[in-house]
Amino acid sequence: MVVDFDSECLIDLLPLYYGRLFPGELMYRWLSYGNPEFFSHREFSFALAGDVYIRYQSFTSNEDFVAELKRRKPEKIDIGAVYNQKPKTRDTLIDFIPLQKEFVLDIDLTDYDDVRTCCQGAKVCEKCWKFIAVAVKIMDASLRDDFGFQHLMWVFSGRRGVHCWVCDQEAINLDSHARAAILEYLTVIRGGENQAKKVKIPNADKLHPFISRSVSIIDDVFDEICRDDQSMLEQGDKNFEMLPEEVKSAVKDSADRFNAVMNYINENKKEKKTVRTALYELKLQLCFPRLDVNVSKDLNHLLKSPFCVHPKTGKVCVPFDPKKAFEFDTDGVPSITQLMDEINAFDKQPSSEAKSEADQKETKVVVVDYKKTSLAPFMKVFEGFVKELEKQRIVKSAADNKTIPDKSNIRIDDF
Amino acid sequence: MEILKTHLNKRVSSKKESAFIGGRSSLANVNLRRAKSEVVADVELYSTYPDILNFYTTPPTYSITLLEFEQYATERLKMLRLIERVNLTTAVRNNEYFYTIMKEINKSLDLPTYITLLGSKIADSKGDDDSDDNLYARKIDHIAHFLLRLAFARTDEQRKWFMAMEVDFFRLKLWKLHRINDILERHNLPFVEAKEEGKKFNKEILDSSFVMTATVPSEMRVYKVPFIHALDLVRSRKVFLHMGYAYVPYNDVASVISVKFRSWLSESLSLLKKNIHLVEDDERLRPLITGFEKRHLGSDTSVPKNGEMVTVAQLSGFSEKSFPLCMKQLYDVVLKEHHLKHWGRLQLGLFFKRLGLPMDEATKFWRSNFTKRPETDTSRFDKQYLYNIRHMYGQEGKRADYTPYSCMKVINSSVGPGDHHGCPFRHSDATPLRTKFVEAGVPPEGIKEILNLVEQKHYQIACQRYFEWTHDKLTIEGGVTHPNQYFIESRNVLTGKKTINAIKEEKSEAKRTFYYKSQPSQNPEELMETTDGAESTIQTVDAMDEDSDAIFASMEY
Repeated sequence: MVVDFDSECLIDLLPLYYGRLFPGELMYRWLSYGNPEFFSHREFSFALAGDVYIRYQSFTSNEDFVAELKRRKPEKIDIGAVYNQKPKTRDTLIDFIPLQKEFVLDIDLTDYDDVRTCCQGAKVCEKCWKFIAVAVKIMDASLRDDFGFQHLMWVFSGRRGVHCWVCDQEAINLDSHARAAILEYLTVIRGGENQAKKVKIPNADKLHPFISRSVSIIDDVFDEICRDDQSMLEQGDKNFEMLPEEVKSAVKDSADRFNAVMNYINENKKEKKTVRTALYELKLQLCFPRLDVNVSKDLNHLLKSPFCVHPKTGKVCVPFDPKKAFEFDTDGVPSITQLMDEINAFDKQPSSEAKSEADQKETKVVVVDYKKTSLAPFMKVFEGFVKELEKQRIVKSAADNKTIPDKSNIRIDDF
Repeated sequence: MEILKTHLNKRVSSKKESAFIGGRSSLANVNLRRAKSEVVADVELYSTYPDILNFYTTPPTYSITLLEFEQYATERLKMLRLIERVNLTTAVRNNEYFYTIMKEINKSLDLPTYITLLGSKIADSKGDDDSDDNLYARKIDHIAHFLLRLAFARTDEQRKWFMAMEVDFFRLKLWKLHRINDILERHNLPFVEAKEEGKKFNKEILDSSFVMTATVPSEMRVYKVPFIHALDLVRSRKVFLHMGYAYVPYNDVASVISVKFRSWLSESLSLLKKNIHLVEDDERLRPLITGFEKRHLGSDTSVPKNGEMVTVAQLSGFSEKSFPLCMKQLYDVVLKEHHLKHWGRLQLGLFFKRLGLPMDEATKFWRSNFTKRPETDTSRFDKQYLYNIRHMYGQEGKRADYTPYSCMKVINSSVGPGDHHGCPFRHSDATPLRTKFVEAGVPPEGIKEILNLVEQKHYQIACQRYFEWTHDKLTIEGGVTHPNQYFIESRNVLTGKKTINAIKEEKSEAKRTFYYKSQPSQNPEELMETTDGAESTIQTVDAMDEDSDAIFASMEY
């Protein structure tokens, strides 16, 4: 069921959404990490209708949080850092310092405008989504296998990008210097509009394992994305300029330049190191993830909360399974209008008892409502993520009780 | 010098302690009894400083004169600035980098302590120089580091700069030492030798690290350390990571240790920041410390505001001749594409602010251009960009008065796809650069010269040459350090304010200014204000360092 979203109606739908569908309890279980103070010292910021933006909100419980959501009806909720004081009631005479925050990644298709030909700007289609899927695969693999993080939540941002929340204790405790270092590790594409070649591989015969893994992930879809979907390297494509002179001059006038380039490379890569290098550089420049690094570096930077409603598309920001990134269909993400219709349709079914809305709020648990809607599978991903966090915490605290706690690792509990 | 010990975590307590720094005597008196610090038995020095490496975890407790204070601090600042200059040409910390710094230090005439410290003219079997001179240099190194902490503790920007340079200096010492094993032991660093994993991941480790495949892999020792302790290697992707651990070959352990040093230094500096007012309250120290801050290279505060107000209508004329290339490029993009990404807006917007473009004019500029895009109407513009502009002018958020970017900052900015900011000399391919030079009327020999400099990574010199070719061969004395400085120099040339003679006068004026400035009883900031005209203030800052030796000499009478 696809229902057109009308942004005019958003303000009327939001209280219902926050009251009946927004997973306040799960959000609390996630963001408190087993410690109520960790939740109450967290900054939330709201974008309200009419371009009002309020920062430094904070809440002591999920009831408190959801009640405020219903009252304020924010079009967007941002999650910030955990501070040394409750942000809302902070004492300005004492330092107000961000202490901890999840390590986050922000990948947005607008940063792919120089490689995608199918859409530009805010637009997104299933073809350019594949860039995002590749990005998710590469980043997810590295965060888990290289950095050893386990608690990763990938969220569709509602329109044309994804966010990743890394929620391991070690990630939450990282200072901005460490965050910047990780981002550098994860960044391959460098260079502005005046530099044709944005990837430099120093030695094609000595690839860092992160690079070789990334290249092999790209390999699976390289032809599909770059040749079939985006018709890259053809006449007029600036990316062609990045290739070494010998490749360029060999294929310059070819009508089917993508295949000509690939043929030339395949014929010569054994003998020539420059050609081998060029092949890696080409693949990485066209398909490697482009991160919005500023979001990730600073502790006090805000990032949109999961289960927000995107004010332009009406779509809910939903968590998804990174293993199924390629199958993820942005059209399948429900909009707020659609969700409300689904609830109404469900409630009208004969089996469902006819109740006024007010009754429902009192007698039914919120959880029940989302199961009536196409939000259910996404909610399941979120619930699984939160439960995994809780499970780990129990295992860890059992282990900690046996051993002397290591001072450097207990900041959350210390808090 | 007890005061240094106390500044870290305790309060500066009594008059007795501060009396060590020369008591109530005036600077002139101190100069006359220019005694060397008391002689400490060499054995004692050796036990304090077993090698040239110092983590600076304990503040020194010697008494020194005010003159020594200034000397030690000046010498170290010069050394750090030397490192900064080398840093501008390269981002990697390889052998070549350290050789370059060593060469530069040995070449310089005013860094005797550091030549002795690093020179190792007499070396024992382990490669250490434990001569008396070297031990004494270790002591001054220790003191001087803590002196500069006082001068660079106040703002984030200063601390960041100081830390970056000190860490590079620390690495230089590590590079000279080669005795990683002792250091690991002495400082209890969290390394575990990973024999099995070393074999299992042999290929990955070799592919990741600087180690040449030619070295015999079976003999390669590998240490395992949580990645958070190996951030430098992580950043440059020069280490194999697996499940949160970095597998560091023996040769790279040095880099890991310097990260540890950095975090210690960072912690101490933020502690110091909270207590710095205690030191500043000392009227003899205050002028010394505040004076130092001003010598910080390319210091934003030293760039004068353009005296007059500027309007949007004037911008286009200015951009033709007087904008440095980094700003002209951004300006042209705004006009052509009616859009600019965040860091580009910031780089250009702050430049405009310092140019004297008031906020309403700035808003007019951005709005009229951005709204030429069909998808950006006025209300959208106000929603998306207005806050940003007001923020730049300190009207929103924490209301900070953001300073325009210096060349250092522009050169080191990270530039990604879709970005036009950064330094064109660093962040452009030769072809688009050449086009720009041709457009600006630079003759072929000039283009060749500039591109040559770019090739050698001398971006600021390249920019200076560009200035000369486009300004009748008149130059910017002391080099280009700030886009706004470039602008003002250009205006001076174009309006005829600056000729070859005028430059000479400015320079002598600058010397005089500095002389006054070093009188401790006067407030240096006031004096900076009294220099007559924007252009000479820049010269002051540059001249200060070149000529400070001469000035010290003259102060002794």
